[in-house]
Amino acid sequence: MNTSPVRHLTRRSFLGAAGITGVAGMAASGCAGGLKASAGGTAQVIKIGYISPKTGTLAVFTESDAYVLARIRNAVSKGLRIGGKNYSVEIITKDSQSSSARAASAAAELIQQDRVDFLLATSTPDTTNPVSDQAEASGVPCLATICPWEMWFYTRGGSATKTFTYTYLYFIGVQEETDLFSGLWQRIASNHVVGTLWPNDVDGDVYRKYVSPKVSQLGWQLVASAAYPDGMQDFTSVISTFKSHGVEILQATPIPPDWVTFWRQSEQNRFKPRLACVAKALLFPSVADSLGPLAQNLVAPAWWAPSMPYRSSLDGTSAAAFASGYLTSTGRQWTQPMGFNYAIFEIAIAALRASGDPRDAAAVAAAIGRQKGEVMTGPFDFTTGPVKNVATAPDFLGQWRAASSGGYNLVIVDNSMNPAIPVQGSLQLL
Amino acid sequence: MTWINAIIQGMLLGGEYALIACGLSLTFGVMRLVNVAHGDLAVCGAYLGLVLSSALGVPVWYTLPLVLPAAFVIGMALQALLFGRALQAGALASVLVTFGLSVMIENLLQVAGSASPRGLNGGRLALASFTIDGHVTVSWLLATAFLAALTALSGLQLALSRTSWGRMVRAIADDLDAARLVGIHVRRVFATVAGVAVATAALAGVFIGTISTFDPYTGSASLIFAFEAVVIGGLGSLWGTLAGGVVLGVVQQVVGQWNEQYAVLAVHLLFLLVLAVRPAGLFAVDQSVLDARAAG
Repeated sequence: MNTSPVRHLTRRSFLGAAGITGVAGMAASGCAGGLKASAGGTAQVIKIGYISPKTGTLAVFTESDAYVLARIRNAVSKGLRIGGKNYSVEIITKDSQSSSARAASAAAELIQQDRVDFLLATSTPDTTNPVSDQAEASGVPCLATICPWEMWFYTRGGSATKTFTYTYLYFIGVQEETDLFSGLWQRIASNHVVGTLWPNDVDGDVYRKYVSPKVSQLGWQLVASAAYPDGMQDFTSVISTFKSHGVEILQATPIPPDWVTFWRQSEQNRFKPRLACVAKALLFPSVADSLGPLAQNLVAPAWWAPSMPYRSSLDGTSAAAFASGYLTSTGRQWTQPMGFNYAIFEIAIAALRASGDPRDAAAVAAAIGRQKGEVMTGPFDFTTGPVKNVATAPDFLGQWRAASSGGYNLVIVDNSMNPAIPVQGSLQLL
Repeated sequence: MTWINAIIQGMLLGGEYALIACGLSLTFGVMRLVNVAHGDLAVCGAYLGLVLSSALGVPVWYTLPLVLPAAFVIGMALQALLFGRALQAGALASVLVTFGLSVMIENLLQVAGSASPRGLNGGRLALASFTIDGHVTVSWLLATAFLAALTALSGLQLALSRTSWGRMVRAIADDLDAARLVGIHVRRVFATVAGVAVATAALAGVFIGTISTFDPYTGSASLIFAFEAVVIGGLGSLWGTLAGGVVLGVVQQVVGQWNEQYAVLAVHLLFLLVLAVRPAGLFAVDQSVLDARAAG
């Protein structure tokens, strides 16, 4: 018998209260939703989703994201006028955390919860491939970059007979980069022994597939490291193999922290090839800075530089002004991903405009496939790409040289893919 | 010759593992505390070294006189605030509490710094090397790490066997209640042990930072190797920890010389093998021997 004056909380009363609150809440949100829908927007909103590895081992790719996004938001602040209607543009960003699983779930969130009209993915196949797969499956137009096109197209199952409807890519290719590297190797005198450092990830697999036949085509000797796991802390076994075979040319495609570890341990173990060509890891001045004097004359691909004579199609900013704006607003040196991350927004906006109705996913996707023009990274043309969903960009090679004011600059030493871009220095050996 | 090189490199690498593991061995052997945050404390030491060496503009070695005492104080504070209470709540509580501490440290480091990997400025020592016999090149950095591990472990062993502090620690490790009865101030001794453990962890973190790179999540990977070194060597034995670390390093390098893909896997397989065949570890102090000593 309950004789005390205080009413104890019983299970029944708790469930009753919870039930009433729940029903009230659902009714309220239903009403609110109804009110919102019936008000009808005065300006409709185009949502563009952007997924990049902001954290994790590939975080260095997205160092310039905040600046690029600020410039884009500024350029579209007045909205877009498409098919007689005004639209404002909202950009929603998500972090793939350098992990494929997280990239896929971020894409799913953007597609299902935020209901984006256009999806952008950038920076290595670990991010671009899962996001593109989600977009293709859900029928959302998607444009990716900073992933060599063969890695994006063939790895996802594309072929001569199977192309994609909603997903596209704008970037350089591995075959052209391999040709560039081998061209550089043939320019120097060496013992024709090529050592390679390829990890057990998508980049490593693709470079293995393209560079190995090239080396045997040249008739040179290939000393390949085993497919080591990303994040390996100790490379002394690889280095001693390279030394015992007398490797004079090195081609590596590691993640940035592994390159720093490997190159420092190479110095400690007195392994010094004549040329070290590093894809993926050495694209960034921050990595060169952390290597210090060891970064001198390392060869890295250069697909965008402020010295290129191109402009933004949105507000006419030149590449040089774009880079110097980054320097003044953040105090940091320009990084290559800036150019391409900006360019995919330009192409996305051009496709949305050309589609006539940004809500019609099929029309927007078809519009991307018809785009050609010139953006911050130069001329592009989806109609004359190597496969249906790809527009290629020319690749160049640069070497990191110490700048007089401290830090390191990427100096272009090979412009064979587009002689219109001037060479800034001559090739030097390590 | 490459195999001899692999074995030598493995022994030196083992020294680095032993340095990370000795703090863990100490806290577990003495305090019966499973410190899941040990690897993250090592990474904190590396970050502290990074901040100080960039601020002062010197190679990280010159900041050690600041980093190690700071780590000692942090260890004592952690003991007073966290470990002491966790130990009172039971063995499982200490695992949960230190796991929570580990997650907290990783996320705080990511917020304070960024997730990008960093390296420490090791100065000229980091890049110098010497050759043995003209064939085997040994980097001075790895050799220094091995010597540091040797010094730390032998210093601790000497302190444990020759000093009164060491006697108190051994007494507590043998029988906690009897030690209390005898009048040993257990909490104070625990505080110094935790301080020493975190200081060695910070030293190990500084070496990790110069030998390879570190980011907020490197602690978990280091923790696994440290645990394996402690378990393979045997709980309760500091020299066993060194031996455990060396065994891990040699296996990793030798298998890596054959195929780098399987190097880390081989280490974990060895750990499973030791657990299956000799769970007490290779150099475990036999409990029956201790009892016999106590009786006779």
